[in-house]
Amino acid sequence: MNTKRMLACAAVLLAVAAPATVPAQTQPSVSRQIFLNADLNKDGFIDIDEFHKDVVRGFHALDHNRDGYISSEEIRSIPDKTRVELILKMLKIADKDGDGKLSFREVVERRMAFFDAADFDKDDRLSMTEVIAYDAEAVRRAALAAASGGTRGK
Amino acid sequence: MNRTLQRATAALSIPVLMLPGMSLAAEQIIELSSTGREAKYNLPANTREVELVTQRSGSCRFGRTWGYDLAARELWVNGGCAGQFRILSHEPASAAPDSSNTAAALAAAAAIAGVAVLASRGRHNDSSGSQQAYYPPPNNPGYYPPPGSPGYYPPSAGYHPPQAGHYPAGGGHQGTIHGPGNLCLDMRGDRVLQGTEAIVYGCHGRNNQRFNWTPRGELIVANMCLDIAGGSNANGAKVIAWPCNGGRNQQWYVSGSQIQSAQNGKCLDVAGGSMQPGTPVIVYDCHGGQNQRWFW
Repeated sequence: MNTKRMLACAAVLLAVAAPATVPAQTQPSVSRQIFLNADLNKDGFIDIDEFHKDVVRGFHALDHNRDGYISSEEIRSIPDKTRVELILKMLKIADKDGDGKLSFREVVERRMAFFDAADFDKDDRLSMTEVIAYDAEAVRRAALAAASGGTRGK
Repeated sequence: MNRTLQRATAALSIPVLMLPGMSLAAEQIIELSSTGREAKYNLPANTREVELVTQRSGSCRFGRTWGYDLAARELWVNGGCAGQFRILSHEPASAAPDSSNTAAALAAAAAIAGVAVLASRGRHNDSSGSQQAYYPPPNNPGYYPPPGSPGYYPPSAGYHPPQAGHYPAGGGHQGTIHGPGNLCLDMRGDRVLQGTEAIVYGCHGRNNQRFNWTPRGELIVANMCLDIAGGSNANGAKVIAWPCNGGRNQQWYVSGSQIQSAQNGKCLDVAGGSMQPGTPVIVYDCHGGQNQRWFW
């Protein structure tokens, strides 16, 4: 896969996170909609408690057998081969203890690191601008990582 | 084990009484404090989530000074954090509704992979995700077919058929909503808070009378959503302000001059047909009466 193809793939991966009521167009509109869903008290910021809720909700969307781990089997059960392949490729880095699955704690640590990375002004909460900026950059970075990871294997 | 637990004060443990037929998940409240070193508490099997209820001392911050693991089943505090925590369990029902949602799973996986920082999708979006299109409403106030009639799609399904004359209500409208007796739909008091009651009142167009009708059918007033209290299906159920959560009890559509709930098709209704300012607005079976007519 070339870089351009992977970029498109990563963008689609993000786009699918959009609610079905919103057309999957540009990434900022997708990030914006997810932000609005996560901003439970509608104050225009995702604070640490709202982020905690977002992490828990996401975790339970994947931990089908409720054992506190997300396994590669649980991710493979998502009926979308292309995206699943990309996700698994990226998740290899996340599995610190190398047991082939992610514990709740590993997921929290990883997502907290993304939270901190996205929190540009370090006020311990995310603004809409920070989320849109982070997502745009992350998609670009993911595409590059996936592309280079793909060529290394050959 | 004793070493890590010795400073933990799991003082009280109050399992909340469950009445037969209650669908709420069981919950438990515990106290846990760290003085200098980390303190731990063993979580019961089937724990779904832990919330910090009250901070007792120190600075409790999720992911830094308190956290938990659903795999190792432990709750921990450190760095001086002490607080009261609520332990929520999975509902015992075999159905795990979250797990069937492909798009939610993909969004969650994308967030763990770091492609997006957040993962919250709307609760009722269906699994096919981006394949579905949204048809924007026309400029004129639309008509949306009542539940059960041909052409009706629940607004929360996220898909609205492009049939002539059949459109979701929301989108574009912003301002006061006029009801019977020259009164306006109004949230009681000057400040709109969680739980503030909907009433009718003399029109003044200030913050607590300005409604924004979103394409999703939400009626947003002062950053809160107009909401049927507790998702009740009763005639006379209270209508209040509540943080927007995508629930069907927060979605509305117009049918003629009526405003109907997407949850049960009942109408926004001035209680008792009163024309007195301050009368509560409720939901009731639609009957086309004067006290169920609203205009932008």
